[in-house]
Amino acid sequence: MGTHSRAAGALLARASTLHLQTGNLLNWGRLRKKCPSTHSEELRDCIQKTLNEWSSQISPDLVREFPDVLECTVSHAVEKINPDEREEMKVSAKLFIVGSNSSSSTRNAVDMACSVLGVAQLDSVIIASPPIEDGVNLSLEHLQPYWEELQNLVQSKKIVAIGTSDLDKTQLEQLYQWAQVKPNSNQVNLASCCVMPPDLTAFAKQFDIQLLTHNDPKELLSEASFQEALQESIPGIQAREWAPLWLLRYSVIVKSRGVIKSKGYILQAKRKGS
Amino acid sequence: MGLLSQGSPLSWEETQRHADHVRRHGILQFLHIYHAVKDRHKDVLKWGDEVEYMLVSFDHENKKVQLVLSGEEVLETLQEKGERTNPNHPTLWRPEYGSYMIEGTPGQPYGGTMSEFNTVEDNMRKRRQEATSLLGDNQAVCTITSFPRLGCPGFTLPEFRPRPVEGGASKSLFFPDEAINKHPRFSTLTRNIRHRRGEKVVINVPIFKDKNTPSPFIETFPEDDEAAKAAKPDHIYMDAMGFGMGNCCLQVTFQACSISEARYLYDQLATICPIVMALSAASPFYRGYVSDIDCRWGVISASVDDRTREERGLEPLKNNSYRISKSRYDSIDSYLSECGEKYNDLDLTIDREIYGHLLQEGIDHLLAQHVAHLFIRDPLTLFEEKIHLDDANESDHFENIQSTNWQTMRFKPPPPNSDIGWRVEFRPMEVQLTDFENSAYVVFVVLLTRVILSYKLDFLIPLSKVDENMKVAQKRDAVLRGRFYFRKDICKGGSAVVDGCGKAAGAEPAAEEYALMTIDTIINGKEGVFPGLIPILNSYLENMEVDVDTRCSILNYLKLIKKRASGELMTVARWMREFIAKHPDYKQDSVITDKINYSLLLKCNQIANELCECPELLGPAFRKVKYSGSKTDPSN
Repeated sequence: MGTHSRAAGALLARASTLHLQTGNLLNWGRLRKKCPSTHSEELRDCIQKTLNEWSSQISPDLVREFPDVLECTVSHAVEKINPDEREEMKVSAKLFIVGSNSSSSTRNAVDMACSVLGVAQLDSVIIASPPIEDGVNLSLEHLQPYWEELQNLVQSKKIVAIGTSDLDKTQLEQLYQWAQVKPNSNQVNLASCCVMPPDLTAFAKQFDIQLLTHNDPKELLSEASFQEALQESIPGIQAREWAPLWLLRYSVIVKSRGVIKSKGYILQAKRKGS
Repeated sequence: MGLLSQGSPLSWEETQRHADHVRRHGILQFLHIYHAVKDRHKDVLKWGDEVEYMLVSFDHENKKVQLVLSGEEVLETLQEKGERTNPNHPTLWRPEYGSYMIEGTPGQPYGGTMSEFNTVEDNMRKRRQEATSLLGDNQAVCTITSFPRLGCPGFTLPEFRPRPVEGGASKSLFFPDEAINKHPRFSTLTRNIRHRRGEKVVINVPIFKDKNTPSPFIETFPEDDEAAKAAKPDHIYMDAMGFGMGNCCLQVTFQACSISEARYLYDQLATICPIVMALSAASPFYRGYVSDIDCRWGVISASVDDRTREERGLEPLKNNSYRISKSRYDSIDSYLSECGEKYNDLDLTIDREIYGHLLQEGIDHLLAQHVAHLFIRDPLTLFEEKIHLDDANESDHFENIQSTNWQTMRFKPPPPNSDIGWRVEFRPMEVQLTDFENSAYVVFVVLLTRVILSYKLDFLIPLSKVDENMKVAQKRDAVLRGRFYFRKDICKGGSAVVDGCGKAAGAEPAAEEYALMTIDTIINGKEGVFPGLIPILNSYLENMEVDVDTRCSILNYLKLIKKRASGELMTVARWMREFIAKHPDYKQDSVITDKINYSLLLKCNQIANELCECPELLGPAFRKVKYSGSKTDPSN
């Protein structure tokens, strides 16, 4: 373990970008004993286990190479969608923007998800509300840069449908009026699914926007909790230098059977100042 | 309750003469089906529920409630106005054992998308309304599992006195033949079970000993030798098929994507049967007495037990071929999936010849022994016109035996020449008072199948332990007091195929694979012990796209199950017990009088029709929560 984490530490000290992907969590067998935890706990656990798996399998060749971009995966859990079965599946993703960042994050995330799953197109991408300063209300301007990028991805056929999360009626209406590619869904928190604000329900119905549910916390992954996870898995590195840019959660559902085929996380982090 | 044919039913002697013919051709019919569709795969999820109803009539003046013997006419009208007029009619109706019963199902099966879960309750409500609209004044359809005064004097409308004569169907001291559905299948079944058995069926349910209940509690039947011998002290004695098959239940059938998925789900759900049965407990009263059990299962089991004394092991085998350990109505005796094989620890009685024949025809050991076990039974009814059949295109003989093996789970091959896939039926649940509760249990079970398939869960424990659970599950307050064997590590983790068994295959099951748990632990989980089925369901739901209306319904359904498991809400059985205990006419003597029965059923009917709340059963004003938000009439 010591040598493993030393090799991982050495690689991380020289790289500028980290791509972490969990593979199919359903292949992990991770329900064992513990209750399925909250999304945040699950995610943290996934990040650590992925780092541990990866660092235990670093080849000497890799250490000699010192790549700038580290691809960190649980190799045995990686699972592409069989092209013959693609039609039967619905591939959905939710994108969480973590850092202050460039608009290329959206495209990077979608490209990576497609390549990880071996598909040309995602059926649906929902963007979680980007982080904003405390006390400020989310407005259209906060969303616009990401939405523009998502619209481009729809136009280039990388995504079929795009949606939002946690928008109230006013926010959703503003986006709807401005957007070229309209949102086809808006997720609301599970806690409010039985007490929906009537104005939002009416607006969504009028413009054929699906109201879906989620159970994500306001902040699924903070910079600090990512750094803690990193520090715990690979002690002795400068975890504070690393900041996550985005996180994407995907699921692959067998449409006509209600069965989850695959589910996982992909994350990109950068070394600050690199 | 199974296949219905028109025609002239044969007597038991004649039926028995054709038993081997029926079995032989039943097997040929099964083989035709198997070979034609064994490779079917990629079938979509389709599923449906079955709810059974009793027709009751309130006599408000005399404070009496009776079962109305008009099921046949009501059914005829329901079918005439419904499915026969419009093939897309939203409901389907079928006859049931009691002349006071009908069974309703959705007109079309539900599909595999999440929003279908939000249509179940609405469809059940339609069924209730449809049937109610045909009834006379002061009549109602009730979804109660057992009618508390079934078999008491004057329990039917019109009233009939039982005539316990040999030429009748039941020969019961309590249950008149007029209360049996008039279709000849039902009385023939009743008579043939009795004739095959060689005596009347015997049902003894332990009485609940209240403060003023005589102890010992003894009923005497001087006019009937059989009854005098069969009735046990401290038990409520019953002597007819109607006491069992005249109860209502709640079933779910679903289509699997392939035969191997069907076998996998059959096995997995078999372990869930006792748990969900205890959670659905709704039948504490029999023949006008308070009993010490909460579930109907054992009563029905005894009510159709057609085994002879030889088969039951009371006499040496002379005329019969086997000792048989269970009634035709009982828990399953063998798992069907490869992973289940090592947990098959019950002595399985099989027809050796049939087993050999099936193996020869390329059926694997597990499926062959399952079918050869079902086929140790004799056909119970046979119609003169339906003896000689086209084995390649009909399956009546196979279904004859299959559909009179009433087990906790049923593995259903597709009907010949149909586009239906392999199906599995989940049969242990007791029917609940309201459409809301019935929807909750049904949705819980169907969601559980999706979770089992998604997460490749493994609940298997030795079948003998499942049988022990079945016994515990029926006891009074089992949901809170019972301890059930359950598998500790339910995650197969990584074995990607439905019928792969992971690395442990072949090894002897270790004792520590399972432990005794409460239903609360099994359903809601316990830190460090077991994750809990509801937390796993929630985790599944978070990964599915679910619209807010559907999610709200599912949330309320799972809340009900969760709180019934934890004891925060009562089961129907517990609630009924407390209702009668508080009734001013109740004398703490375990007797349910006409008046008490009237009050109870009136209350049940009010709850079912949402005319009053029942927070101890359903939760505090759950309707208000549900309807205060966006949830509106689905038709607008």
